[in-house]
Amino acid sequence: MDALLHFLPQVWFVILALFLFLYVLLDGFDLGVGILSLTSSDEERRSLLMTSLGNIWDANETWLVLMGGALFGAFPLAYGTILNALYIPIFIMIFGLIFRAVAFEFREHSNRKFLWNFAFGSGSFMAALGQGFALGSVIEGIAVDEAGHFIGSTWDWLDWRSLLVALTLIQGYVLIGSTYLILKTEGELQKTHFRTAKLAAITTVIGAILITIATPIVYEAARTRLFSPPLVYIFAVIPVLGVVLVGLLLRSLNREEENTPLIWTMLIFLLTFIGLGLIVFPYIIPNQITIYQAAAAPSALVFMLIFIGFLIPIMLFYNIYNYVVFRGKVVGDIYGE
Amino acid sequence: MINSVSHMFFATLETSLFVIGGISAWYILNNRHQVFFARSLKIVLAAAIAVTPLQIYIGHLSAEQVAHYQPTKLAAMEAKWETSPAGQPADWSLLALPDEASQTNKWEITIPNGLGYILEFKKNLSEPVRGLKEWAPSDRPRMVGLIYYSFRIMSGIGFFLAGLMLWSVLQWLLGNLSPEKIAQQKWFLRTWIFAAPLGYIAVESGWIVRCVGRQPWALYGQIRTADAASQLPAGNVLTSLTLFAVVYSILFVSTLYFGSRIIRHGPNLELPIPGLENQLAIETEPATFVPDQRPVEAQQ
Repeated sequence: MDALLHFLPQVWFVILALFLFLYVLLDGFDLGVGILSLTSSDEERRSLLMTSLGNIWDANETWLVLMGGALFGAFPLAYGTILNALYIPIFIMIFGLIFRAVAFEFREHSNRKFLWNFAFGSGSFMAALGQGFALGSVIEGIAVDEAGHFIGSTWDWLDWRSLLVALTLIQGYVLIGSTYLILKTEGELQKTHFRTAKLAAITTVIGAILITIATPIVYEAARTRLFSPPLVYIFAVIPVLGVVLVGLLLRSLNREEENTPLIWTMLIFLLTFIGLGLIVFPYIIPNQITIYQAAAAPSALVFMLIFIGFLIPIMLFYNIYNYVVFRGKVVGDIYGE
Repeated sequence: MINSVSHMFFATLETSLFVIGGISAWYILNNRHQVFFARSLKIVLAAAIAVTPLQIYIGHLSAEQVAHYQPTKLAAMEAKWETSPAGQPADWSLLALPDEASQTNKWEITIPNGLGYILEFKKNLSEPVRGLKEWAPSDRPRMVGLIYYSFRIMSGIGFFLAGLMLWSVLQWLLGNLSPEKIAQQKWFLRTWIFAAPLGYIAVESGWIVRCVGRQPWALYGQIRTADAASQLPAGNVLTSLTLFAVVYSILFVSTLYFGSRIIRHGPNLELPIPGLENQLAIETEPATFVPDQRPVEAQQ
């Protein structure tokens, strides 16, 4: 029983991490393309950008919904505390996502396309910004009392460090978005995105380096965890792998390869995510509440596990099938094979 | 739980059916694509024959559940202040003006002995139906009038839609729904257009009954709404609520605007059916002209 009390929260931590990773990866390029659409000059290009997402964006966002539900069910204490602390960033994200989502539908029927273009681009930017601030302040830590309830103030999430994380995340989304567009477009449009991807790769790396330096300096707890075994060995390897991956990405961009930039970017995201996950584990609210304290009753965790066990393969299959059906380059308003 | 889940499920089905029906009726009334939309109206009607009575029955089952698990909600739905003992008939209030200060209804129209028939399909109640006065004011919902009338609007719409279904079936049997005749049934079509938004109103009213009627509990009998509320400053919640109201109002107006635009634009009946392009191409290709090669005499 005691083993079960540890095992179940760990399983759910991994499931949540999986959902969050899939969401960041998939909606990441989605939002990145949205942010990039703010800079595109003519209607035809913007139309191509939106068409490249038309069939997949809502499936991508399903992972966010699932993550919210899983967090609520599996770690109710963390759900309550995190949503209290991040009320404003999460609302920035939600309103961003609302405007972005309706822009897809309404733009097609509207005579004033510029309105919905703006809703799409700025909505994507807002969503990414909100997520970045949320991520930044979770890494920083959330002020809680002994029972795990939030005791900070409304604007705790806003400072230069969370701003740094937010800006870096936006750069990361632009990077993965432009590598996705390299895969999906051709000709002049594709050329543009080789340049954008290179620029975004450099700004993302600068942001990531700044965060990596700032976090251990500012946070005592992160420092002691990072510089003691076993994490110190892992965190000696991760930066090396990171440098290698960034190098591979820049090389593939220079050679104007079509498929590899997206793959290298995804691997960079994965590496960053593993790094973050290892720093956070076994906490769900860093350095305050462990997954064991925040977990729901074992019976609830088992019950949910049965459902999610059926759901994950179905969703993954559907997601993959979706990408297979809509593979190939985007041409005009429809998909070419 | 299964009752209330299926009640909501059929509510969405019924709403969509009457939206499709209303749009079809609008096209027929405006003499556009009558053959096509007479058919779509009949498909809707065929589904409504099953859905509308079933929804009323499931609603009844849900109400039985409410009576059993959440008696204060039932009392508020019926604006019932005094307890009706078991073994006796009780009046059912059709319309009333509930007054919370005096804990009575200022006036009401009742159907004598109706409550027993509604709850148990017989005259005498076998279990007492408890009135609101049985609970302390802090343990029962406020805004009794809102709950009472929301419930009446919801169930009224449910019966209205079932009645519209019956009327339409009658017209169908009389042969008045054929593409040639249907356009003359002006009031029939107008009623269908009128019914299009009713499903949404019924769903909203139902949720008011459900959530306002459950107060002061978040989980009935387990945790009070006041204890379940987050510790966020009220100002934050008010701000986000206001923003939601504003954003959703904008979206509501845009949806109506674009929706009516799509409807006015009308369907494209020439689009090929996806996956059947090849078949359609064969059907629509003009036949090759074969000149008549019989001798000239035979042609005449």
